[in-house]
Amino acid sequence: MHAALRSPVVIDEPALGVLARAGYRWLEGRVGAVLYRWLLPPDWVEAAALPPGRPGAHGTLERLRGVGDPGGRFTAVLGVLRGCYEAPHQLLRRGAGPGAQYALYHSRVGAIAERVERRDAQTLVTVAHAYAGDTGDAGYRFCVAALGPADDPEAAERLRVLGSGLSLSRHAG
Amino acid sequence: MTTRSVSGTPGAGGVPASDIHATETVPAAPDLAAPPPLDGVDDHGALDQLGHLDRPQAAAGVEDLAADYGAPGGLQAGAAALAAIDAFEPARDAGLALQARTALLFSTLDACAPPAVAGHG
Repeated sequence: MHAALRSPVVIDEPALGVLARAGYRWLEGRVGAVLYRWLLPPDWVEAAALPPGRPGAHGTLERLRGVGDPGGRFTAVLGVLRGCYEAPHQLLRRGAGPGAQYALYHSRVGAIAERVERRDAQTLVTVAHAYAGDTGDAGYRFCVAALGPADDPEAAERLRVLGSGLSLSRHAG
Repeated sequence: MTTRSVSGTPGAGGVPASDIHATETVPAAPDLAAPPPLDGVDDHGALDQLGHLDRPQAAAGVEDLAADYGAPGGLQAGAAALAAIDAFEPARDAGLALQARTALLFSTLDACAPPAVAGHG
């Protein structure tokens, strides 16, 4: 059996330059000692209110950001688990739909797993980022879910950029 | 492992997929029989696609995984390139439609969380 591992998305300096010229910007925030910067298109809007977390059987994933394009075709959310030492691909094994495809790779600060699957007529991309940074593994697992139309051939790639375009670093303050 | 480079120009309303994959590294596909499911894990067969990669990584410490995860990906740009991108604050949308969609997506992330994670926030 051939493992159906997808090629990772790579946002290197030339690719980042292309995205910047297209207007992509950072949405910044802080979680504990970690500064996150999430690369997003400039015309996107942010939900004024986020649903509360659901503690219980699955623990609590902190809701950080919920965004989407003004036309309502794309939606993406960012959350984080603290005190979680599971590998990213172990997180993504839960709740996977049939036919999901995976990519495993590593950024400059930790391991990343990506899951791409089809849900009804849409493409769902889920990405888990482990933050090891310069402090070792402190149990931060940043998770992105991005949803968009499955009938647009470029939509899946844009969703994958939303999932991978997360910069994590130690907060200077 | 193979690497290919693609170049292009940004479009007016977005970025073509060919530009996003400025450099794409393609790991060699292993040709091994899928291992049996890990004990206590109900993955509905989806992780069969991970083949032999799944079992050693599941057993390894997290600190060892980065080296085992293969090709670099995600944001690989250096600090100077990252700093050249401006931050922004998106306009707030108080509509229920976006909130409903975000609620749906957060529920998919909730399904990924391990039962033992303690709540924060």
